[in-house]
Order: sequence, then structure tokens, then C-alpha cells
Amino acid sequence: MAFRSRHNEAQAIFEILVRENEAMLMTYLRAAVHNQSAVEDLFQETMLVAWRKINDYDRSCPFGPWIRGIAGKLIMAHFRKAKSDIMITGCETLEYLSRQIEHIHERSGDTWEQKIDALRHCIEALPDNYREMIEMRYFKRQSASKISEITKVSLEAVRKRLQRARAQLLDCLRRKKVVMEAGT
Amino acid sequence: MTTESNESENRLVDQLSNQWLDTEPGGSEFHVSAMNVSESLNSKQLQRATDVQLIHAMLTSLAEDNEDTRQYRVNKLMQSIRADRKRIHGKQLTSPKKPRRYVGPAIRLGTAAMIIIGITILLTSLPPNKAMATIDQMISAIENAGDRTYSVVVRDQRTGRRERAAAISAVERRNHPERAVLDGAKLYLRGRDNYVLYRYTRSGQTVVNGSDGKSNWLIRPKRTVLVSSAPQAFRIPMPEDLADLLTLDFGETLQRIRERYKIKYLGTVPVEQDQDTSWAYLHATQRNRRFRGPRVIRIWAHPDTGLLRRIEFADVRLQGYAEPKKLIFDLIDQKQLPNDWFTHSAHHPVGAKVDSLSEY
Repeated sequence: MAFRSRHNEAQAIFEILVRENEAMLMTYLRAAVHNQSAVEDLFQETMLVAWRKINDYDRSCPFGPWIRGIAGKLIMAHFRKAKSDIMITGCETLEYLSRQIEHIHERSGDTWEQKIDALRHCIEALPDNYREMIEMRYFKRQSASKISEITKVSLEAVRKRLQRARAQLLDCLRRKKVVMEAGT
Repeated sequence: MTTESNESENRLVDQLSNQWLDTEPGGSEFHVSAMNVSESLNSKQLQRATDVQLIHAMLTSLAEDNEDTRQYRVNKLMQSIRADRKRIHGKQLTSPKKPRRYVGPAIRLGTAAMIIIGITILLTSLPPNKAMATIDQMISAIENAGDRTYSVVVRDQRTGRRERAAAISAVERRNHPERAVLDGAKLYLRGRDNYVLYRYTRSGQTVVNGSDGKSNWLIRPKRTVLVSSAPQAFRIPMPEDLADLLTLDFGETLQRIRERYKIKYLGTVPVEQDQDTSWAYLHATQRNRRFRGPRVIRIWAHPDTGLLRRIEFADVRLQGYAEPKKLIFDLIDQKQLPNDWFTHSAHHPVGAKVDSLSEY
């Protein structure tokens, strides 16, 4: 009885940790894995492994890096099965990505959305033709070829604009110190 | 020259990762070429590619995730965890048992003794319920607390961003242009029953409610100051969701939370901008829906003194907003206020007309 109540207690605390780290972990996985359904599966798998290994977790350390460590191993395993899903791999690169995520996580704000709020301002500051591409690609979930069809802009030009828009967003977030300079 | 070569290197990497990002998954030739080339990138180029993909991931999170998708994701996980537990238990139950015909009475007695010793050690070594102890400490801290000033903030439930005037519904703006709102209000407290609440209308007029513990009073723009000794006079209209829970006596509010919510102590954490100090963090979830109130309340308090630093009510329906909001009370000052601060005369010009109402 006492064991069950302690177990339920542990489960409730774990659920809170999951809620508090869900958006961060999803961003980490999305940055490494292209396939959306694989991202969702890896999220479930990572958290399930974390729950099974919860006794190994050192509570004096932050939860975020620990959970990303588990996710990193699962990404590497997924890479062996589906190479085309993953562009960046290798311990060093995943470690760099984890540091970037941790840098964002340390920003002020209660939620992940608050921490990346600067991105909205950067989107607003984009030139109109770049902002339009970002809005269609992400907020209206259109593929590059569909955007080309709707806007009557060639596929190559759509890809170019998306590429430049992302590069400008990266510069903007670096200026706002949301994202660290490479090599720091 | 070096800058130019860096730029062209960046362009090359960007082209590569963007081709990969903007191609539909599922066996396109771009993936293969991206993979082949990515294997030959040096570490600086890989960092650039990683940064571009991080931007993609942040954009996707911003655009695609909302409260429902997050809830679904977490619920699915918790179901798997529960199923996992059943599976493990099932396995334990069906595992073959060793024959115990020859277990002697001494072993049984020994086992019983070990269980009793184990339970005794467990009971004596368990720390007191930290969450309840913290709440109790907070309630008694309020009894002895000096003057405190809290800011009141309304935030969007989903994004956590501060609400702007534009978020207020058109109906509210049209029907109640002069309603004093909680967002941006300031609450001054002394002990448990002295309070002053400054609220502002959308046109910038000030409405002040207060109590010095003996009489309650209300100051509105261009109106007579009202004073009454009736305990319920000029009560602040609290959001309907919080009517049974939140009072300006935070001691009373914490007591109600203690009774109606399941409270977890989750260690010490900083509060947003205030990264230098760590505060005891409590997470309260409603036990049942018998009482009105938000499903989740988050509380930060000083780990040693129990001083309430912040209290946050989630998913609150506030007058004038279409969507549920977070209502936050944040400690901003502890300086001592003038002695007469909680009397009405400290907040209106000398000579203002005052009506004392015996019953209101």
C-alpha cells in the first residue's frame, strides 16, 4: 500500500518534470530528426526510458541535460535504422546542439515559449517576402513545392528565400543572445 | 578575404541543410546527397548546419505546438508508463515460485523481525511532508510579515506572454470601457487584514480599494469616497473561477489551497528574471472539482522564511478575455509603508467628500 502510494507520488512528480521539459525536448529532437512521426516516437521513447531509469538520475543535477543525454543515444540508434531522417549526428554535434538548447533553457521565462519569444520579434523584422515564406512553410504547414504553386514563384526561388530567411533569423537570434555564436 | 570565404562556406552549408529541410521526407535524392555531404563537413560547418536546424526546430515548435498537442503527447506517455508498470507487475506475479515447504519457523520469525525493523526505520527516517511544512511555514510567515507589495499580472495561458490591451474582447471594450482591471494592479499588504489594491481603467483612471482591518473603503474617479465597517463591503470582484479560493488575505488563500489541493514540493528554483535567488517551489493540483478553482496553482516561497514570492493561478477565466489566462501575484517590494497607508485618507486629496456607510 505504502509502496503503491510512493509509486504514484513518483509518477506524479515525473509527470510534472515531463510537462516542464516537453517543449525543450521536442525542439532538441526536431533539430536533429527530420521525420515528424519519428520525432514523436523518439519523444515517447526518451521519456519512457527516463522513467525506467529514474533511480539513476542524480537529483542535484538539472533534468534537461540528463534527458537530452538519453535522447541523444536514441537518435544515434535511430540514425542506424533510418539514415535519411537525420542530417546531424555524432556525439560532438549532438553535444553542441544540447549546449545551444541549454543556453536557451537558461534564459528568463517560465515556459519554453517565453524563452524563445524573441523569435517572434525576429520573424516580424524579416523582409516581407521572406516572412511570407516562413509563415506559409511553418504556420500554414505548406511544403516548398506547394508554396511555389500558390505564390507562382519558382521552387528554386522558394527554397532560396526560406534559406535566407532562416539565416536572417539565426543572425537575429544571435544578436539577441538567444543562440550562442558557433565555437563558444 | 577570410570573411568572404566564411560567408561562402556558410552559404554552402545553409544550402545543404535547407535543401534537406525543405524536401519532403521519404526517399528523395536530396536526403542521400545531404547525408553524403554532411559526413564530409568539418566541425565548424556542422555547427552552422546544427544552428540552421535549430532555427527550423524552434519555428516548428512555435507554429505547431499548442496546449492540446502537448496534452495529448503527455497523456499518451503517462498511459504508456502505467501500462509499463502493469506489465512489470504482471511479470512478477506470474514468475515461478520456489517451493517453500522446508522454510523453518526461525526463518519466518527472522523475516517478520526484519520487516518490523524496516518499517520502524522508514517511519523514523522519513522527512515530514515538505510541501505541507512549507505551506504551514508560509501561513505563519504571513502572520508576522512586514509590509509587502505585489504586482498583479495577467498572462496568456498558452504562450505565457503578458496580455496586451488588444487581447481584451471587443464586447468588453464596448460595454465596460471604464472597468478597472486586475492586470497591472498593485497590491499592498500588512499582516493578514490590511490591504490596499490599486487598479486602473483602460483610460488610465485609478480605482483604489482598501482596508485597515476595521473599515473597508473604496475610491473611484470623480466619485464620493465610500467607507464602511461592514466586513463584506467593497470586496474586490474576483474572477469567478477564483471566487471560492482567492482572497487578499493570502494566509486564508493558502489555507484553502492546503485543504483542497494536492501539493508537491519540487525543490528550489529561481523565478524568471531573479536568477540569483532560489525559491522553494510548490506545485498544487486540484483534488476534485467539488470546489471552484484553477486546476493548477504554482507557488514560490523563500526556503527559510516562507515569504510568499509568487503565486500563479493557471487557466483562469477573467472578465473581458475570451481565452483562459494565468493570474500572477509577484512580490516586488518589502519596504515599510507609511503608518497611515491602509486608511483611505492617505489616497485621496484632503477635502474629498467621504460617505461613511454603517451598512453596505
